[in-house]
Amino acid sequence: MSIFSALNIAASSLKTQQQAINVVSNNIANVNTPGYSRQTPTLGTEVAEQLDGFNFGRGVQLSDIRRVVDPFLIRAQAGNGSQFAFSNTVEQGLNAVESVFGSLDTPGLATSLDAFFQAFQQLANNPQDAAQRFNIRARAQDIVNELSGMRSQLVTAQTSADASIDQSITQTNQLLDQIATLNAQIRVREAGISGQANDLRDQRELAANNLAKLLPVQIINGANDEFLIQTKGGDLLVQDNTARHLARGGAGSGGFPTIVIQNTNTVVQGLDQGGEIGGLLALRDGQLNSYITQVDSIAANLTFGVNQLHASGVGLTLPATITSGQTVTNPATSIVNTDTSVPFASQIVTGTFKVHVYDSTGAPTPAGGTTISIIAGTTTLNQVASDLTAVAGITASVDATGHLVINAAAGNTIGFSNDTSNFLAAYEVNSFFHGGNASDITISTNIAADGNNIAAGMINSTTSLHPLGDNSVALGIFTLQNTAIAFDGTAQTSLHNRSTNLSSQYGTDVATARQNRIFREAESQSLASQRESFSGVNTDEELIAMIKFQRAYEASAKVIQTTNTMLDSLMGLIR
Amino acid sequence: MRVTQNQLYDTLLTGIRNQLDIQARGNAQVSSGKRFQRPAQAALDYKTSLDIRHAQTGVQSSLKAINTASTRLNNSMNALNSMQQLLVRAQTLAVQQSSGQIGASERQVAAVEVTRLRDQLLGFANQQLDGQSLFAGTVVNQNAFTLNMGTGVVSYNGNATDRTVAISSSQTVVSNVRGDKTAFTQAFSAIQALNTALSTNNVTGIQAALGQLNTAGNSMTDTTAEVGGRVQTLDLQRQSFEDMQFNLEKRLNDHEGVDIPATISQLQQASVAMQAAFSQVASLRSLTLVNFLR
Repeated sequence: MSIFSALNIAASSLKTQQQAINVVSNNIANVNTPGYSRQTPTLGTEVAEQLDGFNFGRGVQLSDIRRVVDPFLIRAQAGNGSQFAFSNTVEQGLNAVESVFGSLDTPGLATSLDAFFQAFQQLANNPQDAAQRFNIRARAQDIVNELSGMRSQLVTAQTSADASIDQSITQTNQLLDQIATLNAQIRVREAGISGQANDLRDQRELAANNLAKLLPVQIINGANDEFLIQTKGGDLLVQDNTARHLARGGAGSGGFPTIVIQNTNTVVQGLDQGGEIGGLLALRDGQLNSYITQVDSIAANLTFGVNQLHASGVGLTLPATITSGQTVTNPATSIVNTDTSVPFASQIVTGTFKVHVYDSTGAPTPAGGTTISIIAGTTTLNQVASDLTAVAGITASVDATGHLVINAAAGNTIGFSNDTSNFLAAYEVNSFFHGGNASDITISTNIAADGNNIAAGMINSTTSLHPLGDNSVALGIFTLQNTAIAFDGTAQTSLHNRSTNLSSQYGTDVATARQNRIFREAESQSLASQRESFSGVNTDEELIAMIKFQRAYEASAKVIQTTNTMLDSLMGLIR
Repeated sequence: MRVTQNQLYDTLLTGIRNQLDIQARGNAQVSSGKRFQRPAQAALDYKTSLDIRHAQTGVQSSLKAINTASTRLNNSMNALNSMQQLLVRAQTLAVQQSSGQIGASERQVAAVEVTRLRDQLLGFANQQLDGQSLFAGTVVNQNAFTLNMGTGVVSYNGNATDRTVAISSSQTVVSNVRGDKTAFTQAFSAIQALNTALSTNNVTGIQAALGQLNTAGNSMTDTTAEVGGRVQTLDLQRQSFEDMQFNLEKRLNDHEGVDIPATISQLQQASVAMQAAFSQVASLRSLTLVNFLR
């Protein structure tokens, strides 16, 4: 063994300590890099040299640069990130529609309903008063504005959530491409060497975690340690260096486009189990859809409930012409089944209503009116028009747009009473409201034109008289607020309860979403802390390691210096 | 446990965020005086608030309705009282004119007064409030009674339907006195009988009319007393609703009101915790080996 061996050993040390310091330097440089895992240099001895019966060491080498990671933590973070993003998206989406449900300091739907029904209470107590009727019309307009405004805002939020899904799909596709590319790059970088492509692996972990925040995925390590990614529903998204993009497909829930694998008709399954996209889907098809349904239900029950009573009532004036608010495309078919555009056609039952005709002096002709029969499933709108035309003093027809139009002869007026068939309310003859849900609810044209047409009392079915002080219809409508009703297939409950339940459900949804978000956030912080504890860079540790490697470097340099002195001494002997 | 500098900063940041959240919520509560304002802050409590407010609005409307009914009944009672006085005067006249010392000419003069009494009685029976007949049932736009000038017979012109007032959605009260009640019929019939007897100088008829007037007076008294009883019942109901209004107001305050001392205490604690966290963030800067390597 020559004196040069000492030089070589010291040289190996210089090289190795410098490499180790490079690792330390890289750690410190990436102390704040998201997803970075600290790396540790692993030093090993060179293979010993056997000489003169001894094994002489040949120095040191950098045998590995190890990335400090805990796979369990990384997967747990991906799962948590998915659930946190889900809860956070739902909470933010719900917060965005908070104004729809009002506050204690601003009038909301419940307040408007109170005011509307109290206006009817006041009319019931003063049925001859025209001013009360104008108050009712104003309060009714408040409710119409409230309901249609709420629906409009909720639909806008729903549409906005759907538009956000498009943005999330774009981000998802970018991440899928990134992961597929990293799969390929890692395989190339690690081919033929023992060490791992640590930084690329960190980037891939980070991309996979970011992907999990967008949609619920399963991350599987393949045979060559590449990432194989599929949705919770089992749809393959990334394999090796191939990514399958998401795209929007045909109409699905609520008319919104489905999410499919691009260039296929395969609807992606299990998307609603987590991630931002899952949160947006839950918000769009769950909470927001439920609120819209409930607002529609309030509008529907209010409309038909009031119309049912109002249609058999009489206002301060009697009309000479009445046009139905609803239209049919085919008046020759049954009024119940003819047309789905008549929202409450299904409420029509076999029964009768009375039509009263008054001459120019206001005298009924005849007293007691004329009974019109309705047979559910049989009677057509044409038949109703024909039966009405048979009544002396009036004519009726179905016009070109499908309205039932009833005209009194010159000087005559018309009134209705005792509708047991619900025909008048369903076809909006002498109705208060028009429409079937919050999207199209309005005050009927008749009442919008003249508040005096608001009914407070009824026409007497025997005498056809209608005393001004009769308040039976107004009383009925007033009591409707706290009466359990259902004309749209929902469970029977009062309009007041429907409105307060809506606010309450919204509040509960927000509280649940907030609770989930807080739980997931705490879990996220805990996992992030654990990961930081395990894989994070501690600058003090790195500096101490740096000092150790620096000192080793200095010592090795001293060895070279000493060896050089020895060589000088040896060379001096030769001279 | 291994700890990194980033962990320490992250933990402090989380704490500061939490304290800021407490500050924001506390400030909103203190400034509004309410525990919550929106459904998102307290779902079921918010519903309870809406229910209490709904009940409050209902009570206010009930009080208005009671006033309406009370006004109608009070006016009706005043008219009935006046009619009662007229009947008393008619009775007095009948007693005077039933004396054998009274002649035909004096009875003719008395008949003129009785005619005036009948007209006054008709006036009170047709009394209106806000342009609506008080005693015509629901035919409020017509006079309750009409006089046949030829026969002097007064007939009821209203209907047999009572005017109701909705105190609440489950309670209605009758707010009128109908003119087809016996008291009215008897009063007009008796006074007409007296008038005829006086005009025809029929002493027996006058005595018979006196009996009818007594009966009509008693009926009128009974009717007035009954209306008075109804007004009293309404007053009791008003008192009950006023008590309810007070209780609801108190309940609403208890339900929504914020516990100011507790909230201020929380705000103070949050403030102290936040100051400590800020101080710790500043001191962490110096706790690194970098500062000692020269």
